[in-house]
Formats: sequence, structure tokens, C-alpha cells
Amino acid sequence: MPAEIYEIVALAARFWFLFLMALIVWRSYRWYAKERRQRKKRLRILPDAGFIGELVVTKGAGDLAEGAVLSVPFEGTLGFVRSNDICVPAPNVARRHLWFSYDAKAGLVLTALGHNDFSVDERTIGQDPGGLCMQHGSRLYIGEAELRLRMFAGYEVGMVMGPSGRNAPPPQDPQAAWDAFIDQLGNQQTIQPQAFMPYAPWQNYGVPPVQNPAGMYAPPAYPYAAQQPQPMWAQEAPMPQPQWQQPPAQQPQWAAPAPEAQPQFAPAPERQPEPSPQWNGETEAAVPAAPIGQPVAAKAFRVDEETLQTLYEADDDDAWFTQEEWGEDSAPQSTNAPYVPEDNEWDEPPVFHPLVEDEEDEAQQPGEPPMVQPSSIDDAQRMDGDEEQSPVNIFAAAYSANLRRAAEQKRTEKPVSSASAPAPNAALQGDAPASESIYTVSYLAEKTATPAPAKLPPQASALRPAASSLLKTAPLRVPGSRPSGKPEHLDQGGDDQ
Amino acid sequence: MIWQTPKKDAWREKRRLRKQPQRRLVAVVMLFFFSAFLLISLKEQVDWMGLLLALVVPALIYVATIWLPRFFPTDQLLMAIVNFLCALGVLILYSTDGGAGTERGFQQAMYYGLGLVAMLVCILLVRYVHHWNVLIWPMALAALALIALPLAIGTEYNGATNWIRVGNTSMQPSEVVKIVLVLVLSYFMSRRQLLPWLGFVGVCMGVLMLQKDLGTALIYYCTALILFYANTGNLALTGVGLLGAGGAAVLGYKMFAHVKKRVAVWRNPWMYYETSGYQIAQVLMAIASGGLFGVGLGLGAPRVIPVYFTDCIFAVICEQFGVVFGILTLVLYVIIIVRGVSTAVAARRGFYGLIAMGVTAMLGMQTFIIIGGVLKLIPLTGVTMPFVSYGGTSMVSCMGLIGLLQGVSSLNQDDLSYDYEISRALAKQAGVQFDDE
Repeated sequence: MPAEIYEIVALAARFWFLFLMALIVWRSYRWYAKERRQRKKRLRILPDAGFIGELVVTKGAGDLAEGAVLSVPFEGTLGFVRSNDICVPAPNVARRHLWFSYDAKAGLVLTALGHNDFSVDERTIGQDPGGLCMQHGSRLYIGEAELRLRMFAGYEVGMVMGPSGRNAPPPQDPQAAWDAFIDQLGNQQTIQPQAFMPYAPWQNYGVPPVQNPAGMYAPPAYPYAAQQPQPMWAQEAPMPQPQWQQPPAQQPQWAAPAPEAQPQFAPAPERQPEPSPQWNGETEAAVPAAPIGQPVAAKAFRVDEETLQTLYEADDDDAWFTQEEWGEDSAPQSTNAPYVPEDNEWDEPPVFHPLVEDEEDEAQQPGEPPMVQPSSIDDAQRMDGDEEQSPVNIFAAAYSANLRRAAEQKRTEKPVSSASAPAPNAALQGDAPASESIYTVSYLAEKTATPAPAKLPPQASALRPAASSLLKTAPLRVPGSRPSGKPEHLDQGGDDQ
Repeated sequence: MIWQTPKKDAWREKRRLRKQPQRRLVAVVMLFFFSAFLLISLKEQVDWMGLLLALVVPALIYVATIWLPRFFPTDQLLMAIVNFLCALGVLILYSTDGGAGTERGFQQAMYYGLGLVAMLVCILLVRYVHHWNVLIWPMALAALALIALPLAIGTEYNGATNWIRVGNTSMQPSEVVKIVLVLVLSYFMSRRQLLPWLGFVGVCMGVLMLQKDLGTALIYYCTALILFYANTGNLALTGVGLLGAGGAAVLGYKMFAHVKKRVAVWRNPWMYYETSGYQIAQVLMAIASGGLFGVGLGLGAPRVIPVYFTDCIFAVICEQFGVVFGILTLVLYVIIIVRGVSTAVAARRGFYGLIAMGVTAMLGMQTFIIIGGVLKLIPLTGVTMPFVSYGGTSMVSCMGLIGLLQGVSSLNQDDLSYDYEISRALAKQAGVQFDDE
């Protein structure tokens, strides 16, 4: 091209290039702004995004009100001043008291900043300078305050994936995860009880086991553990301390009927005087009192009396346990209770039978009643009182029923007043006051006097604690596991770093 | 007439895809470079290499922006902007090569491909390396050894002894150490290990001062200071750090003659036009001659500017495309910085947040220092314009930094998607509608 013509073309083309450049900048900005809007919109739907759980103040002190809920991010500092990620304005709490970090296997790992003192459940930071682990239901004693951790669904300890889901497959439908879990049970000819034990973080961190009496029979942690094979640590690790002692009179429905095949646990020690149970997935103190004369639209998912009676008291003979047995003999024992194995306790491994209806198995064991595998939570609910009375099915059915009931209430725009809220099952409470029922799977996310919207509000993630309580399947409060009140070693308070 | 329904659906799907922001942006970018390289290739006689680049560069942009995110989780907006800037560098270098017998444009295109590889490596590094406590100390020691290497076997270039020559190629170790610097400082700062943090920064700064690489030292120092403030929020100590930097600058001005000279040239380049002020004077004249809309692609006299292909490439852009185009280029850098800060804020782990903030600070400071120097806002120092300037080491370093940012961004997206899926699954289980759209 001749130089003159090229110059003319280039001079003309500079406006073309400028136009394209302006278009590029404009579209880049529009793209940025659009994604920013989408992200804000999504964060409105997920107000709990970025948090793994909540710390519920079960004993307030100073400016820290009892019942207050403190959101827990992945990591950060906890201390007195507001610049901390978690502000605990209680006496004897240092400005920056401790550092916490979420670990997918160990839970919320707490390490002291400086020489500050605190305690988690039974252990103090002085006993484990490397850090203490909190899991769902663990209590934190710091200064003069007492807090309890409630983890959101998807961040339970012992999951296959990490908290950020980096290497994980996309989350499954909970129903599908449940079905996969049931299938997994059916495919195993012999189920080792260790396969149902949660991950054992105490082996690495020196913390006591999870105080979850149903941990042995709990379903896999939602929603991935259904894909988890039997953990290797269950074979390599030394014999774990039993979390609880199962009474001889109780037999799981799916266990082998032969008495010799049942696991023999040490006899339960003498029962300690049961303190007032407080933790049931929701601290009762955190439940707001309804303003007089005003209805409270509460996102409460409670296992009401009717459901529990249906589920628990269908057949006393076949029931997995009853309230009386639970309260007297089968109460999970404190993790502090010394474990004394019997001589022949582990000589013969317990044999569990699959839940599937198998002709060969029936042929081999003609005396055994036929077993029906629940394919879903609904099936489990329909079968309650008949064949399947494991706590998994009980609470799964109760949870599902109540979630749907709550959703139906939302749809019909009928706010639930606190006065008309279903009370916990009185028959299961024993002597405990109604406000301290340990069987209530409840969560009260919002306190508002406005009527509920027609559909589930954007804060759908408020369902997480309820689901988390479901998947733990049983009350986390272990009667007699810990006396209420602050440990004496914390009276000195913490040193400011 | 039954066949109309699937055809209509396919047409709607195509229309929806065309309306995706990434496709609309990439289409414009591809059109820009296709027309630009086509114009350059027809300048004197048909340049087949230019025609080849007119096809290859848009294709590379398409692959890097549209195809790569399907296999590697990346931030497509960042990817599109970075690809545009890299291709702009290739275009400018190729246009100034016309008739000069140099192949910087073609070499820059190869460095661009190498930078893409470095970016992917850094993305994978951030996403899949979890045991940084094992890696960080060897990385820090290797970085210190690498940055100190020019003191032993380095060659002096433009007054700074910061180059080493390996065979026929030369490299600048301080550019590679930038990636390690961000990782090491973020790691130590996230774990509140202040002594290793200070030690690493101090050694790096000392070595750079010995090499008289003041521009890179300034970038390192500012990055460390920004990371310190981002992690601690301690305004007082950050202010002390700024005062210390000011004091060091005054001390350097008093002690070193070349610093005095550079400041004098910055204040009045025309007084030293024949000697040390020639470069900045030519830069200013080039920008002025370009005017608002430039003199046209491939025209002008960019080659009279000393080191027009590295330090002063922004002046060439302004001369050929105009000041308005230059301002729009700066807007793209601003979008990168804003995006990086957003990524840092959204990170759920302190370490990843500090990585994103460090990368953003480093790229932002480097851009400010070189463009501020070219525009005579601050004394001109010898650093490269990110993604645009000629140089393999610089390209690999900048693309690696962007890779770190991309990795953090993808982790953030994973975290948010995970929470979203959990909530949606719970809502589905409960049989209620999830307000997602």
C-alpha cells in the first residue's frame, strides 16, 4: 500500500480503534457491574455465606447478653474489642483473646493469643497448648462467659471435602445423599460399627470425642459422606473410647437378633444427677419471648408432641429406646467416665445385617423378621413404629415433617405465635421443665412481628442449623456430662496479650 | 410445523449465548486486533507475518478467554482485560518494528503464550496446594538466592545491576521474585509471624538497593506496606512505615548522586535535554504529538524514544492512538485493581485475601510508577508496564501474579457456590421455593 494511502487509512482507522477501545472499556465495566450485582443478590439470599456457624451465648456476662448469637467466620480473632472477628465483651476477656480457624476434619480450632486462658468442654488451653477443637455443640468458656457452637449444615466435622469445596463434587440433593447412604448400607454384607463413627480428631488434637450419643448410628455427614468409604483410621487407630454405653436391653432393629452377636458394652456407671439440659439445637434462652399481644413469625422447626409421640411411642417393645430407659439406664455417659472394657468385650466383632430385604439372608436366618429398607425419609416416616425405629429415621422423619409444616405455614401466611407454638413432647421430658426439652429440634432464626411471606424468605440458609441438628440425629446435650457453670480455673480470667 | 419449535429454541439459545458479556467483550477485542494487525500488515507491502498475527492473536484471545475457563476456573473478566493488554503490547511492538528489522513483536507474542502457561500454573498452585507451611520456607530461601544472584554474576543495564545472562537469553530475577514475595509475605502475615516477614522484606530491599534497582525496591516496599495495613489495620504503624520510606528517600537523595540527577531531570528535563533528560523529553513530545486521537497506527516516530519498547511504551500508545486511548487503557488497569480488591475482600481465608491484595498492590504500584514516570508525575524509574512492555520475564511475572489472583477468585466462587447449593438443597428438601432468581 502506498505510504500516502496508508496514512489516510491509518488516520481514519484511529477513530475506529478509539471506538472499539471505548466499547471494550464500556463492556468491561458493564460486565463488572453486572457480576457485582449478581454477587450482592446472591449474598442477600445467603446471609450466612462466609460463616461456618454461630456461637450462642448460654451464659452472659458484662455487656454480653445471654442468648446473643455471634456469627463465626472461617478464621479470625475472638476478643473483647469490636475489631475482632468475634466480639465477646465479657469480663476477663482479653482484647484479642484467641485465634480460631475452621478445619474440615477437626472443627473450629482455637489457639490462645499470648497467655490467655479458655476452656472447651472438658479441656483447657493449658492442657493442649497446640489448640482446642470445637465441634457442633461444644461449649466455650472464656472469661466469665459461656458460649456454645452451632455449626451450619455443610460444615460438619468429618466431611470428605474441605470447607471451600475445592476438590469436592457439586453438592448432592439431601434426599439423594440419604438414598445413597441407605444403598451403601444395603450393599455391605457386614457393617463395622467403626464405619459409622465420626472422624476422630482427638487422635490428632488431643480433644475428647464428640459428645454425641448417636454418633455411632448417625448417618453420614450431609451431604458428602455418603460417598466416603470406610475410614482407614478406623482400622489403624487404637480402639476408640466408646461414646456411650448401650444398655443390654436395647437392640437396634437392624441388628442381628441373636444376643451373642450384639456388641457388649461395659455396664453403665451409676447415673449422675442430671442437670437441666439446655442444648437442643437451640438455647432456650435464645428463644425470644413473644411480645404481649403480638404474634411472632418464627422460623421454628420443632418436633412437636404429636410427631414425637407417634415416632417414639408406637411400640414400646420394638422401640429402640424409650424415655425411661434413656433417662435411667441408657443415658450416654460422660466422656470423663473411665472406660473399663470387659475381658471378652471385643473378642467377637459385632455383626450387623444390612437393611435390604435379602432372600439369602432370610434363608440363612429364618427366625429373623423381614426387614424393609427405607428408600427415603418419607419411607422411614411411614415405617415408624413398625420396623425401623433407629434415631436416624426418627429424627429424619420428624425433621422432614416439621420443615414441611413450617413451609406450609409460610405459604398460608399464618404467623406462628409463641403461645400457639407446639410444645415439646412432654412425655419425653421427664422431670425437666418444658423449656429445657432435649428432644426439640428447633431453630428460631428471626424475631419479627411482621407476618411471614408467602414463600420461604431469602434467608433460606436459616435452615442450616435445623438440618445440622437433624443430621446429628440426637440431642447433643449429654446428661451428666458436664455440670453447669463456669470452671474454676477460669475465674482468674485472661491476660491481655 | 412441528419442526419450528426446536429451531426456535436453538435460535433463542444462540441469541442467549451471544448476549453473554464475555462473548460480547471478546468479540470486540478480537475485532480490534484483527483490524489492527490487518492494517499493519498492509503498510508497505503485504506482510504475511502480520496477516498471520491478525488471525493468531484473536484466536489466542478467544481460546484464553472463552475456552480456558471451561477447563481451568478463572475470572473471565480479568482474563479478557489481561489478554487485551498483552495483545496490545504485541501490536505496539509489531507496529514499531516495521522496517526496523527487529522481531520484538513476534517474540512478545511467544512470551504472551509463555505467560499464559505461567498463569495456569499459578492458578493450580493456589487452588490445589494446601500445605504451604512445607513450601514457603524453601520458596523464600530460593527467592533470596535468586534475587541476590545478579550481585555475583549480574550485568549492568541502564545503571542497575539486576540482569543475569544465561546463554543467549537474559532475565531479571527481581521480576520472578515478585510472585514469591506475594506468597511469602501473605503467608507470614496471615499467621502473624512478623519477624520472618520483616526479615524477608528487609533482605529483598537491601539486595535491590545494592543493585540500584530503585523502581523494583519501591514496588516491593509499597506492596509490603499495603499488606501490613490490610492485615493489621494499624494506621499508626503504617504511617510510621510511610514516614520511614520518606526518610529513606531523602537519605538516598543526599547520599547517591544518581538519585539527585534523576530528581533534577524530573524537575526540569529540558535543562538536560542533550544528556540525561533526553528520554523524558522525547516521551513528553511523543505524547503531545499524538494529541487526543493519535497520529495513526504505525505512524509517528516512536523509535526516537530511548527504550520505547519497555519503560516508555505508554508514550508510544499515546502517540499512535491518542491520549484518550491512553486514558481508556488506564481505566482497564483501574478495573483490574478494583476487581483485585473485590477478590481480596471476598476471600474467606486471610492468606488468600492477602495474596489477592498483594497482587493487586504490586500490579497497581507498578502501573502507577511507570505511567507516573512517563507522564512526569514522579521521577522516571526503570520498571515495565504490566502486560504491555516488552520482556519475557516481565510478562511471565505479571501473568503469574494474575494467576494467583485468578486462583483466589476461583476459590471465592467455589465457596459461594457451595453455600448456595447447600441452601438450595435444604430448601428443596423442605419442599419450599428457593428465591434464587
